[in-house]
Amino acid sequence: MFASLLFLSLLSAPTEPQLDYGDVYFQETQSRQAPFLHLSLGYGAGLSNSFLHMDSVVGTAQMRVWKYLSTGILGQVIRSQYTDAGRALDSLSRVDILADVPTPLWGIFSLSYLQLMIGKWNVLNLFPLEVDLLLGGGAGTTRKQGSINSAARSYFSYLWSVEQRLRFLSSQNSSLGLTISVFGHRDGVFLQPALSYSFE
Amino acid sequence: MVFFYSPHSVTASNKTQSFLPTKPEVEEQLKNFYRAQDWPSFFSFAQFYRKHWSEKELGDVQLLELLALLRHCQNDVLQVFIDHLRSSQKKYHAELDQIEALSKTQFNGKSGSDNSLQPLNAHLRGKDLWKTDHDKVGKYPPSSIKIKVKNLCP
Repeated sequence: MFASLLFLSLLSAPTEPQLDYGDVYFQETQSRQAPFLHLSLGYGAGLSNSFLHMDSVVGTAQMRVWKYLSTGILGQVIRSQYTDAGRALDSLSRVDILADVPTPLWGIFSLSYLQLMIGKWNVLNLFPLEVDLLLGGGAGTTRKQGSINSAARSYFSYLWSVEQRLRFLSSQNSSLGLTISVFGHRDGVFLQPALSYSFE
Repeated sequence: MVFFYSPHSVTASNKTQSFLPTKPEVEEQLKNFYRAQDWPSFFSFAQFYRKHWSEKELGDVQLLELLALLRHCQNDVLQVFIDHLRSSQKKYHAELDQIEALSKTQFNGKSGSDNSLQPLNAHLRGKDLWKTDHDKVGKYPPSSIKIKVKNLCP
Protein backbone atom coordinates (compact mmCIF):
# COMPACT_ATOMS: atom_id res chain seq x y z
CA MET A 1 0.00 0.00 0.00
CA PHE A 2 2.69 2.44 1.06
CA ALA A 3 4.85 1.49 -1.91
CA SER A 4 2.02 2.09 -4.38
CA LEU A 5 1.27 5.48 -2.82
CA LEU A 6 4.93 6.43 -3.11
CA PHE A 7 4.94 5.31 -6.74
CA LEU A 8 1.85 7.39 -7.50
CA SER A 9 3.29 10.46 -5.80
CA LEU A 10 6.48 10.12 -7.83
CA LEU A 11 4.43 9.90 -11.02
CA SER A 12 2.45 13.01 -10.17
CA ALA A 13 5.48 15.09 -9.13
CA PRO A 14 6.46 17.71 -11.72
CA THR A 15 9.52 16.57 -13.65
CA GLU A 16 12.34 18.93 -14.41
CA PRO A 17 12.10 19.77 -18.10
CA GLN A 18 15.11 20.42 -20.31
CA LEU A 19 15.69 24.09 -19.64
CA ASP A 20 19.05 24.50 -21.31
CA TYR A 21 19.17 26.70 -24.34
CA GLY A 22 21.61 28.83 -26.30
CA ASP A 23 25.25 28.35 -27.17
CA VAL A 24 27.54 28.38 -24.16
CA TYR A 25 30.95 30.02 -24.27
CA PHE A 26 33.64 30.19 -21.65
CA GLN A 27 35.21 33.62 -21.58
CA GLU A 28 38.86 33.84 -20.74
CA THR A 29 39.24 36.71 -18.36
CA GLN A 30 41.61 39.35 -19.54
CA SER A 31 40.46 42.26 -17.46
CA ARG A 32 43.99 43.44 -16.78
CA GLN A 33 44.88 44.93 -20.12
CA ALA A 34 45.10 48.22 -21.88
CA PRO A 35 42.05 49.48 -23.77
CA PHE A 36 41.89 48.62 -27.44
CA LEU A 37 41.79 52.30 -28.40
CA HIS A 38 42.44 55.28 -26.17
CA LEU A 39 41.99 58.90 -27.24
CA SER A 40 42.73 61.97 -25.18
CA LEU A 41 42.75 65.70 -25.64
CA GLY A 42 44.05 68.10 -23.05
CA TYR A 43 45.94 71.16 -22.01
CA GLY A 44 49.66 70.99 -21.41
CA ALA A 45 51.36 73.57 -19.22
CA GLY A 46 55.10 74.02 -19.44
CA LEU A 47 56.93 73.41 -16.17
CA SER A 48 60.58 73.64 -16.89
CA ASN A 49 61.30 76.77 -18.91
CA SER A 50 62.15 79.87 -16.89
CA PHE A 51 62.00 82.21 -19.87
CA LEU A 52 58.78 81.09 -21.55
CA HIS A 53 55.19 80.53 -20.55
CA MET A 54 54.28 77.56 -22.66
CA ASP A 55 50.62 76.72 -23.11
CA SER A 56 49.79 73.85 -25.37
CA VAL A 57 47.05 71.63 -26.70
CA VAL A 58 47.98 67.97 -26.58
CA GLY A 59 46.24 65.08 -28.28
CA THR A 60 47.09 61.41 -28.12
CA ALA A 61 45.80 58.25 -29.76
CA GLN A 62 46.86 54.87 -28.43
CA MET A 63 46.09 51.40 -29.69
CA ARG A 64 46.72 48.17 -27.80
CA VAL A 65 49.31 45.94 -29.42
CA TRP A 66 49.61 43.43 -26.61
CA LYS A 67 47.89 43.03 -23.24
CA TYR A 68 49.79 45.75 -21.42
CA LEU A 69 51.51 47.49 -24.29
CA SER A 70 49.99 50.16 -26.46
CA THR A 71 51.43 52.39 -29.10
CA GLY A 72 50.33 55.50 -30.92
CA ILE A 73 51.05 59.14 -31.47
CA LEU A 74 51.17 62.33 -29.45
CA GLY A 75 50.75 65.72 -31.05
CA GLN A 76 51.32 69.06 -29.38
CA VAL A 77 50.73 72.64 -30.50
CA ILE A 78 52.51 75.15 -28.29
CA ARG A 79 51.89 78.84 -27.70
CA SER A 80 54.88 80.50 -26.09
CA GLN A 81 55.16 83.86 -24.36
CA TYR A 82 58.09 85.40 -22.57
CA THR A 83 58.06 85.40 -18.80
CA ASP A 84 59.50 88.42 -16.95
CA ALA A 85 62.86 86.69 -17.01
CA GLY A 86 62.45 86.00 -20.73
CA ARG A 87 61.59 89.62 -21.42
CA ALA A 88 64.62 90.79 -19.44
CA LEU A 89 66.82 88.39 -21.35
CA ASP A 90 65.32 89.46 -24.66
CA SER A 91 65.92 93.13 -23.83
CA LEU A 92 69.64 92.40 -23.65
CA SER A 93 69.61 92.12 -27.43
CA ARG A 94 69.17 95.90 -27.56
CA VAL A 95 72.62 96.30 -26.12
CA ASP A 96 74.05 93.80 -28.57
CA ILE A 97 74.18 90.85 -26.22
CA LEU A 98 72.80 87.89 -28.07
CA ALA A 99 70.23 86.11 -25.94
CA ASP A 100 68.65 83.23 -27.83
CA VAL A 101 65.48 81.81 -26.29
CA PRO A 102 64.21 79.05 -28.56
CA THR A 103 60.44 79.21 -29.01
CA PRO A 104 58.80 75.84 -29.60
CA LEU A 105 55.86 75.77 -31.98
CA TRP A 106 54.68 72.20 -32.25
CA GLY A 107 55.80 68.64 -31.98
CA ILE A 108 54.67 65.23 -33.10
CA PHE A 109 55.92 61.99 -31.61
CA SER A 110 55.46 58.28 -31.61
CA LEU A 111 54.60 57.13 -28.12
CA SER A 112 54.42 53.65 -26.64
CA TYR A 113 53.04 52.92 -23.21
CA LEU A 114 53.64 50.09 -20.80
CA GLN A 115 50.73 49.66 -18.41
CA LEU A 116 52.07 48.91 -14.96
CA MET A 117 48.93 48.64 -12.87
CA ILE A 118 45.18 48.47 -13.15
CA GLY A 119 42.81 48.81 -10.27
CA LYS A 120 39.04 48.79 -10.42
CA TRP A 121 36.81 49.88 -7.60
CA ASN A 122 33.11 50.36 -7.09
CA VAL A 123 33.02 53.79 -5.47
CA LEU A 124 30.21 53.98 -2.92
CA ASN A 125 28.19 51.77 -5.21
CA LEU A 126 27.71 54.83 -7.42
CA PHE A 127 30.23 54.55 -10.22
CA PRO A 128 33.13 52.35 -11.27
CA LEU A 129 36.60 53.81 -11.06
CA GLU A 130 39.45 52.29 -12.98
CA VAL A 131 42.94 53.60 -12.43
CA ASP A 132 45.84 52.88 -14.74
CA LEU A 133 49.44 53.91 -14.36
CA LEU A 134 51.47 54.02 -17.54
CA LEU A 135 55.07 54.64 -18.44
CA GLY A 136 55.78 55.73 -21.98
CA GLY A 137 58.52 56.68 -24.32
CA GLY A 138 59.01 57.55 -27.92
CA ALA A 139 60.64 59.84 -30.42
CA GLY A 140 59.57 62.43 -32.91
CA THR A 141 60.17 65.88 -34.18
CA THR A 142 59.65 69.35 -32.77
CA ARG A 143 59.46 72.58 -34.64
CA LYS A 144 60.86 75.70 -33.05
CA GLN A 145 62.19 79.14 -33.76
CA GLY A 146 65.74 79.89 -32.63
CA SER A 147 64.87 83.50 -31.87
CA ILE A 148 62.24 86.01 -32.83
CA ASN A 149 62.14 86.68 -36.59
CA SER A 150 64.38 83.69 -37.30
CA ALA A 151 63.20 80.85 -39.46
CA ALA A 152 61.61 77.83 -37.79
CA ARG A 153 63.51 74.58 -37.89
CA SER A 154 62.66 71.01 -37.05
CA TYR A 155 64.62 68.99 -34.55
CA PHE A 156 64.65 65.34 -33.61
CA SER A 157 63.54 64.80 -30.05
CA TYR A 158 63.00 62.04 -27.56
CA LEU A 159 59.79 61.86 -25.56
CA TRP A 160 59.02 60.40 -22.15
CA SER A 161 55.71 60.29 -20.37
CA VAL A 162 54.23 59.16 -17.09
CA GLU A 163 50.46 59.02 -17.15
CA GLN A 164 47.73 58.22 -14.69
CA ARG A 165 44.33 57.42 -16.13
CA LEU A 166 41.11 57.64 -14.21
CA ARG A 167 38.18 56.09 -16.01
CA PHE A 168 34.85 56.44 -14.32
CA LEU A 169 31.98 56.61 -16.82
CA SER A 170 31.79 53.16 -18.33
CA SER A 171 29.41 51.52 -20.70
CA GLN A 172 29.81 47.99 -21.92
CA ASN A 173 32.61 48.70 -24.38
CA SER A 174 33.77 52.23 -23.78
CA SER A 175 34.60 54.59 -20.99
CA LEU A 176 35.14 58.27 -20.38
CA GLY A 177 37.71 59.55 -17.98
CA LEU A 178 40.44 61.94 -16.98
CA THR A 179 44.14 61.55 -17.46
CA ILE A 180 46.94 63.41 -15.79
CA SER A 181 50.34 63.06 -17.30
CA VAL A 182 53.78 64.55 -17.04
CA PHE A 183 55.77 64.34 -20.22
CA GLY A 184 58.95 65.84 -21.52
CA HIS A 185 60.93 66.35 -24.70
CA ARG A 186 63.75 68.62 -25.81
CA ASP A 187 61.63 71.73 -25.45
CA GLY A 188 60.55 71.20 -21.89
CA VAL A 189 58.53 69.28 -19.39
CA PHE A 190 54.75 69.58 -19.41
CA LEU A 191 51.92 68.80 -17.03
CA GLN A 192 48.84 67.71 -18.91
CA PRO A 193 45.32 67.23 -17.61
CA ALA A 194 43.11 65.75 -20.32
CA LEU A 195 39.78 64.21 -21.12
CA SER A 196 40.00 60.71 -22.46
CA TYR A 197 37.78 58.20 -24.18
CA SER A 198 38.57 54.51 -24.36
CA PHE A 199 37.15 51.66 -26.37
CA GLU A 200 37.60 48.18 -24.99
CA MET B 1 42.67 41.09 -1.88
CA VAL B 2 41.70 42.93 -5.04
CA PHE B 3 38.20 44.22 -5.71
CA PHE B 4 36.80 44.66 -9.16
CA TYR B 5 33.74 46.50 -10.28
CA SER B 6 33.24 44.81 -13.60
CA PRO B 7 30.69 42.03 -13.61
CA HIS B 8 33.04 40.28 -16.03
CA SER B 9 35.52 39.94 -13.23
CA VAL B 10 35.27 38.07 -9.99
CA THR B 11 34.07 40.06 -7.02
CA ALA B 12 36.91 39.18 -4.72
CA SER B 13 39.98 37.26 -5.62
CA ASN B 14 41.26 34.87 -3.02
CA LYS B 15 42.92 31.63 -4.01
CA THR B 16 41.45 29.75 -1.10
CA GLN B 17 37.80 30.69 -1.50
CA SER B 18 35.22 29.89 -4.09
CA PHE B 19 34.64 32.41 -6.85
CA LEU B 20 30.95 31.63 -7.11
CA PRO B 21 28.78 34.65 -6.34
CA THR B 22 26.14 34.72 -3.64
CA LYS B 23 22.43 34.69 -4.38
CA PRO B 24 21.87 38.44 -3.74
CA GLU B 25 24.82 39.22 -6.01
CA VAL B 26 23.38 37.11 -8.81
CA GLU B 27 19.95 38.65 -8.39
CA GLU B 28 21.43 42.14 -8.57
CA GLN B 29 23.50 41.27 -11.62
CA LEU B 30 20.44 39.80 -13.33
CA LYS B 31 18.67 43.13 -12.97
CA ASN B 32 21.74 45.06 -14.13
CA PHE B 33 22.33 42.92 -17.20
CA TYR B 34 18.65 42.96 -18.13
CA ARG B 35 18.59 46.73 -17.82
CA ALA B 36 21.78 47.04 -19.89
CA GLN B 37 20.44 44.45 -22.36
CA ASP B 38 23.71 42.58 -22.08
CA TRP B 39 22.06 39.35 -23.14
CA PRO B 40 25.02 36.93 -23.21
CA SER B 41 25.84 37.85 -19.62
CA PHE B 42 22.20 37.93 -18.59
CA PHE B 43 21.43 34.44 -19.87
CA SER B 44 24.56 33.13 -18.19
CA PHE B 45 23.53 34.53 -14.83
CA ALA B 46 19.91 33.45 -15.35
CA GLN B 47 20.83 29.83 -16.04
CA PHE B 48 23.35 29.85 -13.20
CA TYR B 49 20.64 31.20 -10.88
CA ARG B 50 18.26 28.42 -11.79
CA LYS B 51 20.81 25.64 -11.61
CA HIS B 52 22.67 26.67 -8.52
CA TRP B 53 19.71 27.08 -6.19
CA SER B 54 16.58 25.03 -5.73
CA GLU B 55 13.24 26.25 -7.07
CA LYS B 56 12.02 27.13 -3.59
CA GLU B 57 14.93 29.51 -3.10
CA LEU B 58 14.37 31.42 -6.33
CA GLY B 59 12.85 34.87 -6.13
CA ASP B 60 10.64 36.88 -8.44
CA VAL B 61 13.70 37.89 -10.43
CA GLN B 62 13.53 34.49 -12.15
CA LEU B 63 10.72 35.90 -14.27
CA LEU B 64 13.26 38.16 -15.97
CA GLU B 65 14.56 35.12 -17.78
CA LEU B 66 11.13 34.56 -19.30
CA LEU B 67 10.91 38.21 -20.28
CA ALA B 68 14.35 38.00 -21.89
CA LEU B 69 13.29 34.92 -23.85
CA LEU B 70 10.12 36.77 -24.82
CA ARG B 71 12.25 39.62 -26.14
CA HIS B 72 14.20 37.13 -28.23
CA CYS B 73 10.95 35.55 -29.52
CA GLN B 74 12.20 32.16 -28.30
CA ASN B 75 8.60 30.97 -28.05
CA ASP B 76 9.30 27.24 -27.92
CA VAL B 77 11.72 27.51 -25.01
CA LEU B 78 9.47 30.06 -23.38
CA GLN B 79 6.49 27.73 -23.52
CA VAL B 80 8.47 24.98 -21.77
CA PHE B 81 9.34 27.43 -19.02
CA ILE B 82 5.77 28.65 -18.67
CA ASP B 83 4.39 25.13 -18.45
CA HIS B 84 6.99 24.14 -15.90
CA LEU B 85 6.44 27.19 -13.70
CA ARG B 86 2.67 26.76 -13.88
CA SER B 87 2.98 23.28 -12.50
CA SER B 88 5.65 24.00 -9.90
CA GLN B 89 4.94 27.54 -8.65
CA LYS B 90 1.34 28.58 -8.41
CA LYS B 91 1.94 32.19 -7.43
CA TYR B 92 2.97 33.39 -10.89
CA HIS B 93 -0.23 32.49 -12.73
CA ALA B 94 -1.19 36.03 -13.71
CA GLU B 95 2.33 36.93 -14.85
CA LEU B 96 2.68 33.72 -16.83
CA ASP B 97 -0.64 34.32 -18.55
CA GLN B 98 0.51 37.78 -19.57
CA ILE B 99 3.88 36.55 -20.83
CA GLU B 100 2.22 33.77 -22.78
CA ALA B 101 -0.19 36.22 -24.38
CA LEU B 102 2.64 38.60 -25.26
CA SER B 103 4.62 35.76 -26.84
CA LYS B 104 1.82 35.31 -29.34
CA THR B 105 1.62 38.95 -30.35
CA GLN B 106 3.82 41.35 -32.26
CA PHE B 107 4.37 44.87 -30.99
CA ASN B 108 6.92 47.63 -31.26
CA GLY B 109 9.79 47.28 -28.85
CA LYS B 110 9.25 43.59 -28.28
CA SER B 111 12.62 42.64 -29.68
CA GLY B 112 15.55 43.33 -27.38
CA SER B 113 18.56 45.20 -28.67
CA ASP B 114 20.87 43.10 -30.75
CA ASN B 115 23.70 42.63 -28.27
CA SER B 116 24.25 39.09 -29.32
CA LEU B 117 27.57 37.42 -28.77
CA GLN B 118 29.97 37.56 -31.70
CA PRO B 119 33.07 35.50 -30.94
CA LEU B 120 35.22 37.20 -33.59
CA ASN B 121 34.36 40.68 -32.37
CA ALA B 122 34.91 39.57 -28.80
CA HIS B 123 38.35 38.29 -29.73
CA LEU B 124 39.23 41.57 -31.38
CA ARG B 125 38.28 43.26 -28.12
CA GLY B 126 40.75 41.03 -26.30
CA LYS B 127 38.24 38.55 -24.89
CA ASP B 128 38.78 34.97 -25.91
CA LEU B 129 35.68 32.79 -26.04
CA TRP B 130 35.82 29.00 -25.95
CA LYS B 131 32.72 27.11 -26.90
CA THR B 132 31.70 24.68 -24.20
CA ASP B 133 28.66 22.73 -23.04
CA HIS B 134 25.82 23.34 -20.62
CA ASP B 135 27.46 21.27 -17.90
CA LYS B 136 29.68 24.22 -17.11
CA VAL B 137 26.70 26.40 -16.26
CA GLY B 138 26.15 26.36 -12.52
CA LYS B 139 29.64 25.11 -11.75
CA TYR B 140 31.77 27.97 -13.03
CA PRO B 141 31.38 31.64 -12.11
CA PRO B 142 28.63 33.03 -14.33
CA SER B 143 30.87 35.98 -15.13
CA SER B 144 33.14 33.55 -17.02
CA ILE B 145 30.28 32.10 -19.05
CA LYS B 146 28.46 33.80 -21.92
CA ILE B 147 25.38 32.33 -23.53
CA LYS B 148 24.43 33.26 -27.03
CA VAL B 149 20.71 33.10 -27.71
CA LYS B 150 19.47 33.79 -31.19
CA ASN B 151 16.97 36.58 -31.54
CA LEU B 152 14.11 35.11 -33.56
CA CYS B 153 12.00 38.24 -33.67
CA PRO B 154 11.18 39.34 -37.21
